[in-house]
Amino acid sequence: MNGAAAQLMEQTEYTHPVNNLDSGTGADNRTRRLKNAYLDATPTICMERALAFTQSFQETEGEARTLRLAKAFRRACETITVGIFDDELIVGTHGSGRRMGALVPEISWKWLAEELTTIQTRPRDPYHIDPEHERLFREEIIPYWKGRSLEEHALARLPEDTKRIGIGRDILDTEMKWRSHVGEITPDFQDILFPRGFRAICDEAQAKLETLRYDNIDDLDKIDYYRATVEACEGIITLGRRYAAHAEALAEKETDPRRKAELMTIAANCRRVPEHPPRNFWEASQMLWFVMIGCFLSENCPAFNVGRFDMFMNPFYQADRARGALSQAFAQELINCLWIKIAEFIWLLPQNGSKYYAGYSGFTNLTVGGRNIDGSQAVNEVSFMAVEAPAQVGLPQPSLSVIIHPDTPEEFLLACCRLARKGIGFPAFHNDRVGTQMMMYAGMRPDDAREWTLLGCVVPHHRKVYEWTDAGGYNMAAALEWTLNQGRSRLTGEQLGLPTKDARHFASFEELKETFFEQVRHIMKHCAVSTIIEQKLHQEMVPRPYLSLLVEGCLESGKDLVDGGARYNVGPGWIVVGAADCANGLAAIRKNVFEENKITMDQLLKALDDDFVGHEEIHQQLRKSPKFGNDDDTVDRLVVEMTDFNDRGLSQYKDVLGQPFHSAIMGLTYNIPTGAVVGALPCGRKAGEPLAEGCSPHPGTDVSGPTATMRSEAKVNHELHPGGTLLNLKLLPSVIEGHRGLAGMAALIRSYFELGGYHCQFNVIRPETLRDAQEHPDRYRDLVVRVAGYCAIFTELSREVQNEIIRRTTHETL
Amino acid sequence: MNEAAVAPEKGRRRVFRGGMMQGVIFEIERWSLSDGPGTRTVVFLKGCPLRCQWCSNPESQSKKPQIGIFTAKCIQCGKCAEACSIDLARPAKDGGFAEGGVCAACGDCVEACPSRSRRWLGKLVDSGEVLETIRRDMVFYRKSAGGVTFSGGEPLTQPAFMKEILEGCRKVGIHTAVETCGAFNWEASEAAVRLLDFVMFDLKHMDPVRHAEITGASNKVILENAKRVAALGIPMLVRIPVITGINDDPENIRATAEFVRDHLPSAVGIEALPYHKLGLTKYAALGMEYQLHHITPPDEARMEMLRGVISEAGVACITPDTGYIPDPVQPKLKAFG
Repeated sequence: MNGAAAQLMEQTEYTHPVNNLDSGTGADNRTRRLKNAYLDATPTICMERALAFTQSFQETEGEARTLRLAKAFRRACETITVGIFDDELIVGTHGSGRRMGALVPEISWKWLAEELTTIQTRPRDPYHIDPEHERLFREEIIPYWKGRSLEEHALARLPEDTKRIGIGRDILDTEMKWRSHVGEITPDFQDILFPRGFRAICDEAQAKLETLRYDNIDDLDKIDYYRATVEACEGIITLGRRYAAHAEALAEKETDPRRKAELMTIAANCRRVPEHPPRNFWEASQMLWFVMIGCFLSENCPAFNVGRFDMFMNPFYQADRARGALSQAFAQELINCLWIKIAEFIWLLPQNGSKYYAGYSGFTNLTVGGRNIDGSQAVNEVSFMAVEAPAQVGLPQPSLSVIIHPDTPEEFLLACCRLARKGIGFPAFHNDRVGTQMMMYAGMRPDDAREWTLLGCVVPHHRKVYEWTDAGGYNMAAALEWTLNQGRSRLTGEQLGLPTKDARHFASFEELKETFFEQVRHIMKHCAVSTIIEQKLHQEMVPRPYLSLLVEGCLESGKDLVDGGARYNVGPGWIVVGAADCANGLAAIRKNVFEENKITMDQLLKALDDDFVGHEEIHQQLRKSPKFGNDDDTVDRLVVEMTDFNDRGLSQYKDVLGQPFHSAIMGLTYNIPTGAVVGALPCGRKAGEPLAEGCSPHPGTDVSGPTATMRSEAKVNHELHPGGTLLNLKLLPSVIEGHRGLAGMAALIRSYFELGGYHCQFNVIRPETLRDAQEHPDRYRDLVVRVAGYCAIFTELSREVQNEIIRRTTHETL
Repeated sequence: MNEAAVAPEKGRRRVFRGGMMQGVIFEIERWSLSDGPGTRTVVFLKGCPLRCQWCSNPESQSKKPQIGIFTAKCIQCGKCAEACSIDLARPAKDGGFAEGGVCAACGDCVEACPSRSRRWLGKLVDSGEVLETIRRDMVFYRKSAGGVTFSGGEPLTQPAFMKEILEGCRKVGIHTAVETCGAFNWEASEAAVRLLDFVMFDLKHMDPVRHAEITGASNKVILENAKRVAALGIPMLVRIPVITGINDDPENIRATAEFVRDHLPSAVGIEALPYHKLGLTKYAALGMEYQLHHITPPDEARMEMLRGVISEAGVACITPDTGYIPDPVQPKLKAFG
């Protein structure tokens, strides 16, 4: 929040009709009612946005792409259903109902055409689709977009050898950015949106347009850009006005005086925002939500982040409180309402994608804690309310992240631990020092870096940055398999990797390891190829006129985000999956084959071919070998070598804006499909089983307690991985009972962060609870668990994912 | 189960190696929050003079390393039988041992077992090795005002070994604590005890006869030692393992509390710990009989009542909510609210 917005707030009159509501039980009931309504809503595919874009595109043939997209966005704002549900204080949906997934045909529509018959019954994340919407899709949308989607262009442009291992193989996932938009931005509420509002932005674009000339070649693209800016601003402003009108109409009919008053305030709020700067806490909350809806209407993808919520909301809170216009309880109620709205957003995915990102999650991150740009610690009263919200609401979104610094007040950390102990997987704890270092490695000034925030699940980010944080993920375990099998898949025999020499002829462990890195480099090359081609396509086909309004630098330079308009441009991140399995495998080979000669390479390969069946002794011998996560340097150092290599290998490549690629070691549920295509591994893992998740040890192999796991984990040079790293710890509630347990958790986190760890989060659940939930899903429809850096409703996850959660190591110390 | 299946014990030697004491431990547990203030590393030493019926660490009783046989993990590969020089070892699923013969616990079968079905329970280690492991978690102690706790068994059955580790801890400023049953030789142990920062002292029953019935020894020495520790001024916590029908009568609890109040001036309070059966699989692995199958752990109401008895006697109750030492930071959800 800058001074201008704060000043503005002081000058405006605050005229709530619903001041100081006594919201003790009322708040409680409202939150519960809204939550129940959320749980009753079936995730549904909505075609309203797709239809608006299709109709608009039919009218704008031949115009600049950015202008066409801006006009389509405006059309969507003008035409989508405006829905205000009972009890809501913050309003706005991005489709015709709650929990709507919007198809975005300009990116990809083919998958839905293929999966239309199965999407209502598929095992992971099924969707309802209305017959009328299905008809619209078949008759209006497909006919126009055939041959016009980014997906089709990507498939035509990607080289054959990249496609061969990059599509549907789970070796590298290139689909991420040609089947979805990018997302991955954080609206700049502090410096742009709250102080200015969209009218002022629109006016500035108009003013810029007046200085530009069609006869100046340098101005042509800028003219398109600013014209698109005006369209996008008018679009989102219109959406606000439509909600105002709808709320007024509802208020007119409302008989309950209390609800009537609420609706009238909602109407007044929507008359004010997002067009003009918010003047109070409620307006700011509503503005925030309109900005987010604009994001969801623009793109169907994960990781539109709220950013540092406590930093930019606290000035409104303090001002409202000072003038006696807002009770703490009502502020909490507003935050809860916002929480539920954020949970409604769905990232619509094809069947294959839902394997990787299970749980209908939008990966909308909201961050509190941390430091201010001047280095002072940033925890305030709103931070505490944000930590209270998930406990009261109990839904899997938004992803609450907290940034912890040595100066973070102990009572705040304890409040966070208390929330984590409830077993809903929130919050994710992040180390301020390492996050700042990561942002500096990504190219930020140290002072800007201090205001870093979280994106998606565990990615360090900043509102002034444009990047592809998740360009895709690749399967490092496949490289180990190829190393031992002359580049062939052990399961299918296909030659997918480099035809390196027969593993029986490796003269030394070093030679084997070097061959492994050669295979990894081979995958990395395809990662880079696919991303660069996708980035070029995004520049051509899906510039981001609305989203460019939200990031500093674009309006000033007259350049879209995709063209490098943002203040900071950071290279794309690729997620490595299975580093721990590779390190465990290499350690087992070194020990058993090269050092102790207990197993010959030939025996090992046969055992792997047979998935250890009939080789029980060898299997046990391999399982007994040292494993990452137990503070054992012999294997931990190999993990460091793997992960360092991920940084060095990727950063050799540059993206379309000239920025180096970077490394991420996080989870999502990438470890399951990547594991499914890899045969038995020398660490003792059997064919098809999931790989280790993110930077965490392989499930069940860290048996020396959390301090040992953390010491292993902290050996990784986290600052080299600006795409984020992840550590999940599962704890049984009995271990952390009482204040003793709470203080113990807090100290554990501070210690891990002192050692240089970046992120940790806790799954505090009894395994029997999870098993019972599998058997009786109806009884557990709000059981939220941390899947892999994000939270989901347990019973909505596939059986496979559920089993994986149960299987994770339980640190029981009794 | 046949006789040979009772866990074989290794001949125990106490030797100096490289000038370092050696001792027998059976586990080092990292990150415990319930064995003293803050984050603890708990070193479990083998050997105990008592034979409490409810003992949850039966492998702690013998002073010697033992071979445990875990049937569930056995893959019946026969490697153990192949490795055994006296043809006694058999796969766990086939009983673990052949009939007749005495196992000398040479450990060849453990070495040969690929599935960790045969495992050493206890090993001879240098004090330096233990200290090295303790020091690994220094940062966790610092952040939590934690440290190391010696448990067992009765750790003070190995006082010289302990003393050497305690001296090492003192040099680098690691807080030290012990969990003791109180049945130890004072003269042999005093030097080690004086190096301790905190003592958690079990009082299982106040009646000497009853104490002997349930633990195999009178409580005379135990009560004496409690007073001696208190006289040194070392902060202590008295612990009562509460076992249904054995020592959970209010009279016993009251008598314990009064003893603490009247004779242990350095005591910070009493922690009543509900009995649990988590040690059961280890009884099976050692071929030992568990006698308390029929006993159910005390419920929360019972524990609450007994804590009331302790408080009435004017002694503080220590629970997971109080912390071991009064904590300056209290949890507060809404600090500004």
